[in-house]
Amino acid sequence: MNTPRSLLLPLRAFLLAVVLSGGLLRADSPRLADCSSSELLPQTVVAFAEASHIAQAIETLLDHPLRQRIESLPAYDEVAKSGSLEQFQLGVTAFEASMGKPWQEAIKTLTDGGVTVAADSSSQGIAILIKSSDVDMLQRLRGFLLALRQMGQGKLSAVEQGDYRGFTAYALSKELKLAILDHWLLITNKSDLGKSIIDQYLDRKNESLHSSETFSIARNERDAQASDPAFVSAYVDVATIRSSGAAKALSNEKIDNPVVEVLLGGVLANLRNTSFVTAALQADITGVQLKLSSPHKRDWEPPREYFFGETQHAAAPSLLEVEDRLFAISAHRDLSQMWLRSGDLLSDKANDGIAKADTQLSTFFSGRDFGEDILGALESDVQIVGKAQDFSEVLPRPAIKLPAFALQFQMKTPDETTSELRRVFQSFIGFLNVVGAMNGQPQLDLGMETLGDAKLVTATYVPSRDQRDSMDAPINFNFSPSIAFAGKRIIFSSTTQLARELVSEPEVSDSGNVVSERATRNTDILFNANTLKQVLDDNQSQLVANNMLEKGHDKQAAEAEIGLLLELVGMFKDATFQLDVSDDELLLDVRLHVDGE
Amino acid sequence: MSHSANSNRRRFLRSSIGGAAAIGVGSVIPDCLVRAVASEGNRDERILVVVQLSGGNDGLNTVVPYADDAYRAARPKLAIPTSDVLKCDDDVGFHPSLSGMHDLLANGQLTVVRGVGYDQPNRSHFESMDIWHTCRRKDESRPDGWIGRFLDTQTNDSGGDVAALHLGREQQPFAIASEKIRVPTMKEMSEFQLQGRDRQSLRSLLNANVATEPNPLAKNASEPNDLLDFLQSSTTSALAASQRVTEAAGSYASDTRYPDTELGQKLRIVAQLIDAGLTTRVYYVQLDGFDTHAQQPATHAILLRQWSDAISTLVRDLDTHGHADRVCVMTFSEFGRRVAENASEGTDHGTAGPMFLCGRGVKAGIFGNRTSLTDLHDGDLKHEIDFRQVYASVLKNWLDTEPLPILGGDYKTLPLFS
Amino acid sequence: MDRMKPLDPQWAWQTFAPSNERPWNRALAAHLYRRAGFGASVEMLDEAVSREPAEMVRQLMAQNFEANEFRETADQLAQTILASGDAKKLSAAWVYRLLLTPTQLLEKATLFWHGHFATSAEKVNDAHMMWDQNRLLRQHALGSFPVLVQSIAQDPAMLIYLDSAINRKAHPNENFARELMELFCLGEGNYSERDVQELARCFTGWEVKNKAFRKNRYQHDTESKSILGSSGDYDGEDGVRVVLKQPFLELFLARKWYRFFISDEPEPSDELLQPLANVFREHDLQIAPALEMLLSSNLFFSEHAIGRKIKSPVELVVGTLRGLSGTANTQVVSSGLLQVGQGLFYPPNVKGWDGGRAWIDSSTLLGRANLIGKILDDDVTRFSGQKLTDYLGDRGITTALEAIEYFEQCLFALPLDDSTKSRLSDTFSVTAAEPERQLRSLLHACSSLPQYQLG
Repeated sequence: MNTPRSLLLPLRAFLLAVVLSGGLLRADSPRLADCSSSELLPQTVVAFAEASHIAQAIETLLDHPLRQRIESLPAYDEVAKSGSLEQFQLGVTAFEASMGKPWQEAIKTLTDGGVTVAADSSSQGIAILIKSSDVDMLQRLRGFLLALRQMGQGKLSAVEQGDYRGFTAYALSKELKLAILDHWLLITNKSDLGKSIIDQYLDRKNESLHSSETFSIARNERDAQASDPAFVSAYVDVATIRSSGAAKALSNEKIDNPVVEVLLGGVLANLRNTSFVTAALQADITGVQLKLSSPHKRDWEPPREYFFGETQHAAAPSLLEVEDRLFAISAHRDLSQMWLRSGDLLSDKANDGIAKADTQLSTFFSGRDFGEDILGALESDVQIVGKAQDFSEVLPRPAIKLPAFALQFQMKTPDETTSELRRVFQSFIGFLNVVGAMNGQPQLDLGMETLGDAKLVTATYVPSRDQRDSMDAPINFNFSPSIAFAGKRIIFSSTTQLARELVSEPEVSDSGNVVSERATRNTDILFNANTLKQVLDDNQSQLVANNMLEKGHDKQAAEAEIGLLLELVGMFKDATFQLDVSDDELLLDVRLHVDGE
Repeated sequence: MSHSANSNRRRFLRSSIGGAAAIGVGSVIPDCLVRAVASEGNRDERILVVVQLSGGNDGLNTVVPYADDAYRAARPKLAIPTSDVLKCDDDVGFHPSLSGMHDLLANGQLTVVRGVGYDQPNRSHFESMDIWHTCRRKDESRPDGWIGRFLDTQTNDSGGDVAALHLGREQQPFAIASEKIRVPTMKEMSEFQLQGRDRQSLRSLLNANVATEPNPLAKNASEPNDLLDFLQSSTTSALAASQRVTEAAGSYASDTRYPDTELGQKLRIVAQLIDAGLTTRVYYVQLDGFDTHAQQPATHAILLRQWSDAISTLVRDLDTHGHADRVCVMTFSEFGRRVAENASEGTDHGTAGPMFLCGRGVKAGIFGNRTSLTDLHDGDLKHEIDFRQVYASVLKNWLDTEPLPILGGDYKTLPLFS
Repeated sequence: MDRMKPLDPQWAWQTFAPSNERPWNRALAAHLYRRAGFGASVEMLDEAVSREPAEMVRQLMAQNFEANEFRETADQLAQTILASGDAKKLSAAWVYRLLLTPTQLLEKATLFWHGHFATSAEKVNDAHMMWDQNRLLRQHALGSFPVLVQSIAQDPAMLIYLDSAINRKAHPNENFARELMELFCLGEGNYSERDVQELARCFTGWEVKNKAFRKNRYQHDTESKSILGSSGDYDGEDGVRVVLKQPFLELFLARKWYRFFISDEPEPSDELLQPLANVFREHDLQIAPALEMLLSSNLFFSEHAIGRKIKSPVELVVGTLRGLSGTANTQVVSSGLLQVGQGLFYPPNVKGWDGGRAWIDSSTLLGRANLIGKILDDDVTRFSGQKLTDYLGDRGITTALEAIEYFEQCLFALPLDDSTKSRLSDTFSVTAAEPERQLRSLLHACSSLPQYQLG
């Protein structure tokens, strides 16, 4: 490091030339070989992702039991035979030939120092940094990439190159440049970004991404949280992106889509204020997990108290449990407030829609104001559940078998609301019958039943005489809309059976019992892939018919394709989505589990 | 502005003639030129744009009898405050959303026909709409609609521009059903253009093909193939029409800003097609949602604003392009609503309501007497003018067609056009 | 219009015998498949050329019912689709049949009857009824016309479409009675208003209840009726029988078949049609013998027929695919057909599709080109399960010019001239970079030519 640079430069250039010409000497530099990639990147980097255990990830993937299951599928053979994989395999062979090793080993060595991708705001460029202990392998990789480029062009032309401070940059394409800085391989689409990285590599000034304040806060938080080392960890400087005006969605206070607002309005509000987001991706034999977290302040919440909770953060109720559960969603949402405040939350266009819907819904609900009277009668605990329906002993049996689903709320004043909504429900069914009659739809028969302390109002489709034993009845017969009242609970269900199942569950007592883990849980979503497979299985003939129509396949080909789809779905177990909000942090946890057996 | 479309068109024709003459082709070209040139003459033909407000528009809160005490008595919650009404005279004014229509009235481009309906009114949306569309009752045979029957009376060269066009994603309105011709429904502007990655090459191929293709059978077959000639000239005129539409659309954007609503965008397309010189006589669009049984004020205000903004923009735009004197925009709804409001701040299905005619050709003003709010039939307004009288006036005085066979009865025309 | 010199009726209907001047070749075989079906691959054409034309027609006629296996698959497909209750999807199921049926003439005749006994799902609004009617039409498409008419007279979809679901003796509904004579059997001018009123009385008490046909004997007018010169206390079936006896009937249908199977224009004279009409009557109004005579005639294989029809949208799209053993997303096809004017189950009015020049206007011409473009742009579209490159490659075709000449044989009714061919191959040359896309563009260009609209 003390050698005057003026002397060093030509020497390095010489050594490099020797290496490039297939020389035996190796540029063995003591300089920043062991620094981290964040120390090489400028402070203006706004997005940074680092993958540090690629070899391990590949191993997990290759050793995964699912791999054998996929390879044993008949369809896999067909794909392999069809030549669709040919080009891929050709690429792998070429890669292995260039590296002189099997590809797994080559990648393992190539990436043993990690791979970093960064986006820089000042140069509007992207940089990829690969760090390897084996410089020879990096050079082989360079040779491979340059050869690929020439193949792509279809002619053997000289590779454009240029020198900067003793390092040579090669053009991979019109925009992409590649350079090797000892143990680092650098690819970027902006020369300025490349130069600044080389400058930093040589000069090692104090100003780097590493020394940036938000980045170090973010890194510390990530390190504090991570139980296992993440496969990929990432950091996004939201504040800078926001101020540059690059992402419009981040600066728009109001959004167009009410469903997105209800699901993610709070998350978007956070992104409009927070300084950064960190992400960690982990993978093991059971599946993958993505954790996103970002600093949070209560000041950022208005006007979305409906989402976060009025005076304090409110927790989502637990997920509803039913047999053959397909999905469950629980969240804290004050829907009445959301509906009435939609002017503050949604765009003018969306509000026009809400106003029209308000008129329609108030008509459905016999003149009761939808936002104030209907939604307003409910607490902010939203629980939704869906389940696969079992029709094996039911007639008429619908040809298309849909899942059943239900919404559960807590009533503010059960005595008042029960009788009120029971009446509303009855006239709603009457309304459906009138409309249905005009369109030749079957009619609904109202019924009442008592189950323990619970009262149900049910509506059942009446089959016509020739439909009673039908095995391919119309889609209506998936539904028996019902409303159930049990203590404080009110349940709107698409089927009577599901309503019964839910009321027979004991009532969960008030928030005093909320498990501590759930105290910060704002939104909780679970999706069960096994049940999804069951639902698809039940509808196989429909799926096959649709495949025949949409692809013009004959029956055999259609059955094979749907069979494959079902196999693939069967490889997943479930997916979860959890949003936690505390006074200083917002944490999003998404997991996808596969069936490892 | 109208010059640009014309000159584009002439340029196009000239180049076709030039190209054909240079190659020295015989019989095909004159035919398609005759067709193209003939359609140029149709630029003077009058056009009708029909706007259907589906669901039953509340006429009383659209054209408001603000000075009538009976109005406020019947609508304690829904009556538009006098201070908000956009006044037309000492009697009536418009809903505050209708500033665009109010301007049109002031500029002499709007006539409002009050109290339009029919005998023994039907309060079902579907049935009443069918009556407005076909001019016939349920027990009569209804194979077609009144506009369809109008189109049947026009000499329609097959192969040319469509006689009428419905824009939208809804089911096609019965009014334009014809026993003779097919009226297409267009969902997007792109349906008027060749699609696909190779559309440029395809366009030039088809143009070249038509210009130089000698009838392949003419040489050796004993019979000429009229159908092939027909197809070739139709292809030429289809490409020319598409070219005009594309050019019109391209040069259009900057002129007038249409509201960013579905209706606004549909009417923008209508204006472009009219400016492109299509020979289409009738355009049909719909705006749904007027069935305001509950919580009416907000919804009704939004719908009226969408309607008024879009229509007034269209009329203004047609004016700047020099078409306002040959385009009439007619708005109707299948019925009005009851005079008295209901308990859920809404109104229920009623009977008579206002119709609106816009454009330079109309005799501006409020037509018809103030409908009495106290002399009611079963709580509903009594109609003063049969809707077929308005149709008859449009047919006879605007579209120059004998209304009697189309409407199936002799309906007295009204002095609605200047 | 009447530039055509009168044709000799005797020559016209004689069985075509190939000669040196007019040899039986791929072009004539392709013509037969286009009209008696939708189209055929070059392999099928070669197979046809190896036989006599009359034998080919007999073979097509003999396929008057579907092989069990295909029928089961196609019916099951339709049944499954019905579960969704959507008639638009049902239309896709019919497209599936059109694309893959081994019995093309049966399907073409079914399509003919759908236009003849036009009924639209737009109004009937019940996919099950539309499907039942479709099966009825297919069942009798090449069978007995009297049976077909009697069945249609009791078909729920038809009765609903013609506002005849209720028919009380106090108010006989004249709609079905009128159309039975005007559109289905006799043609305008061959009956009086009085006949309509009397015939309507025969159908009193015929109604649709719970989506099924039934006779309400309390609403039937049992008094004597006088129709078209004969009288008696007829019921509905009797009324139909009286109409079927009318001598105008055979000429009326012969004219419709002529326009559907032979040529759009000029209008044929009664003299020309009479022999065909006679055969129809002589065979007790059996459909097959008349069609067999038509399809094997001199006239059918003459220049008065070849290239003398504007392809309907179904013929255009299905023909293009069948000519190259193609399959596609049937929903894209069916919704596209509706857009360009021939929605299956959605005829425009009681008269069905007018055909001929009425197919063409500035919106449908571009629409036809765009529809084929959309289908070819879809990766799902395959040719014998392959890419177009591989399909043509297996047949030794690699260059644009070779492809054009191949398309000419299996797709075009009229030969392409050299200048068109060279313009096509110049504009859409096939290079190594994207052969599949280029071949598909070339096919798209060919199918957009004005001459390709002739079938």
